[in-house]
Amino acid sequence: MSETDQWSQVWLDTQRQYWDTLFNWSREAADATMKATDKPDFGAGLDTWWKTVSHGLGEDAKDSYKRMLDAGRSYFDMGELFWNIAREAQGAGENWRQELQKTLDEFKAGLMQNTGEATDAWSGFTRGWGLSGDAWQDFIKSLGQSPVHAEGLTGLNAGEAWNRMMRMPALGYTREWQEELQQWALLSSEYAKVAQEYAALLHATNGKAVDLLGRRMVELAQKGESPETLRGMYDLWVDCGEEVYAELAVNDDYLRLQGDLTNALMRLKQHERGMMEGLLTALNIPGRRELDTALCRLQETRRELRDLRDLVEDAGAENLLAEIAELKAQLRTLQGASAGTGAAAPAKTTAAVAKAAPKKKAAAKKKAVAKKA
Amino acid sequence: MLGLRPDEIIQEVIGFNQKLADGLKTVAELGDIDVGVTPKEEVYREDKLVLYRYKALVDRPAKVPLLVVYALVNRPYMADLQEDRSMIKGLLEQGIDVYLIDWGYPDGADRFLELDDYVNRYIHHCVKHICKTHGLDKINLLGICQGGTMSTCYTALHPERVSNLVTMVTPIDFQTPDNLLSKWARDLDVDLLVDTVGNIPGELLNFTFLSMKPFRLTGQKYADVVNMMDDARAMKNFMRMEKWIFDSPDQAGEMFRQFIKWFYQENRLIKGTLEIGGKPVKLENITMPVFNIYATADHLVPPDGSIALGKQVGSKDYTEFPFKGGHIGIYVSGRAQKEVPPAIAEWLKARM
Repeated sequence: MSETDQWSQVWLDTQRQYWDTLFNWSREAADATMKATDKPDFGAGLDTWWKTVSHGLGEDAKDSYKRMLDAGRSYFDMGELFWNIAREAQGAGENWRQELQKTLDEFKAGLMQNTGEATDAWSGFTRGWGLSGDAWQDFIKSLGQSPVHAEGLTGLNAGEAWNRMMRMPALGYTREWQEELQQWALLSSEYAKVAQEYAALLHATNGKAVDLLGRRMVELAQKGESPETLRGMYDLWVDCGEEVYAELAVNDDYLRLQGDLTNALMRLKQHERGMMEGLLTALNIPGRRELDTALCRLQETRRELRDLRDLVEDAGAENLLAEIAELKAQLRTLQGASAGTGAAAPAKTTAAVAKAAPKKKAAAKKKAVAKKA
Repeated sequence: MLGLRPDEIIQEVIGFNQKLADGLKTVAELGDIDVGVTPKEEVYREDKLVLYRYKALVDRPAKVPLLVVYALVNRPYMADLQEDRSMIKGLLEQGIDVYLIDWGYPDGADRFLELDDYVNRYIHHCVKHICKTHGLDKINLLGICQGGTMSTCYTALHPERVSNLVTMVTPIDFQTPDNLLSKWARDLDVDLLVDTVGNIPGELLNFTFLSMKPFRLTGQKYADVVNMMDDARAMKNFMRMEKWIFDSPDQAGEMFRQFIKWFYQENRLIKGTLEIGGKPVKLENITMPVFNIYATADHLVPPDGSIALGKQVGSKDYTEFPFKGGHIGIYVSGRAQKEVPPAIAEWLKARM
């Protein structure tokens, strides 16, 4: 048994004991021995277990399995919600709708609390859903390391007073550099502001999705079509999320903010690049601008060269050159022959040229046949 | 009343837990994820582009070969993902002589490649190479997604080189009301983006595509997989798809700038205002037969955006083929294998 298998077994055994206890509780509706504060944590232990067993996996497999684990955690979180709903509803009789609303309100309040903790525009939203927020982080990282880390800037939305201060004229010998730094601070603040607005807009969908879920659950229950499995409920939750998000994704405010977010980040990064270029130029080290100029010229030269080659090729120059080479070779042969035979040479030359002619004709014929085919 | 019972929820969670733990063993033993299975040989190379010719699967393949032009986004092995999910193999089995362009992974040196380079040089050189090899003046062209847009532009600019044009899930009208990508590109300052980052990171494209359906694509999809984790074969198929989805080459900066601005933001192709290499791209120049395949549930390239081609081309022989499925299913679903390659081959053979 491998180390990974052993850990899996230990984890499963521990989990089984936990679930057995919870299962026994669950069978007794509104069990008096379970206090209101006893909230189960369905996903507990998954992260620790993953840290222990993941080293045995290849990179491709590790990435994918981690995504499954993240999805599993989200599924467990929803399991926890629906377990609470089912448990409360079981003891509530005719009042199940009120109990449902109460549990959903608590869940919504928990989701909405996350806004302030978000370190970037996307993760506050995805964290509420237990989804992977890596995509935005990966994108930010893919832009390259900058003197500051843009993903940490969302806390820098310092307000108008700060911005006014940063607009104060710079003074003294280092005034240009000070201006650069002030401009950087303003751009950082601008990015932070947009990122927070974007995060707030995204985050609001969490609350709307919970509201929609509540409405759908009641509608389905009234029609007697309530999902009877956790998986069915989870799918309903995902449907509600996608529905709310689909409305947001085409909303004018969202479209504007999404563009603003990327544009603000780019303005900041471009400014940082300019500051870095200044330093590099002072040290006589080539920077991005210089490299871009060189690459652009190189591309233009390659383009021109390739076009000239195409021109030569399309004009059939390759065939002409081959023909000239062939004629030259024949001429050399003839010259060699004439040097050896004296007076008979002219006649032989004529004969040789006449002999070469059918070859040319045959080549032309061959070409015509190929074209026809 | 609600149909849920707390003890049943616990049972489901226990089952899920067990599958997740058991599945780790399956995943750990999967080994390398192989893709691109049909035998092929390299026949031409230019910069990072490689032109492949697939080995024929019939004794006498069709005389006029088919060049497959894939998108720059993601890798072309999607068309040949695995033994039983391969559009390429399906075409070879139908007797088509298939070539495919692999664009490679652009890096900093490719930053200034333009649409003109891709269409009038790379594609054109591949077409000329194939023509020369087969002693032909023109060949058949099959463009997929963004590759379809480029193939359409190429055909409009070089109609004398294309016998038949096949387009698959190809955007032509980029501003149909249901085109989410176009809406998202609306307020993007693409000049600022490209001037700042140069080549566009593949991660940006991944992020964009995942954000179109975030809950399904980053959550529910993986919850579904847990149910098949005991099946090594199914898991390997899933991992191939995952590999493809996240195998996103960076995009050459200038090409990206032009593609977003000219197509998504200004919709020049359909408006007839597009110029490539200083020459106008006129869709009415496409007078050869056209076979336009689109997916009815395509969330990336809405059907209306593809169908728009029909009204623009000058061809009198224009056929549409709606495939019931999505943008990915059209390459890899079981039904796609049965429907798409035979339909392309049958249509082509009737015109050779």
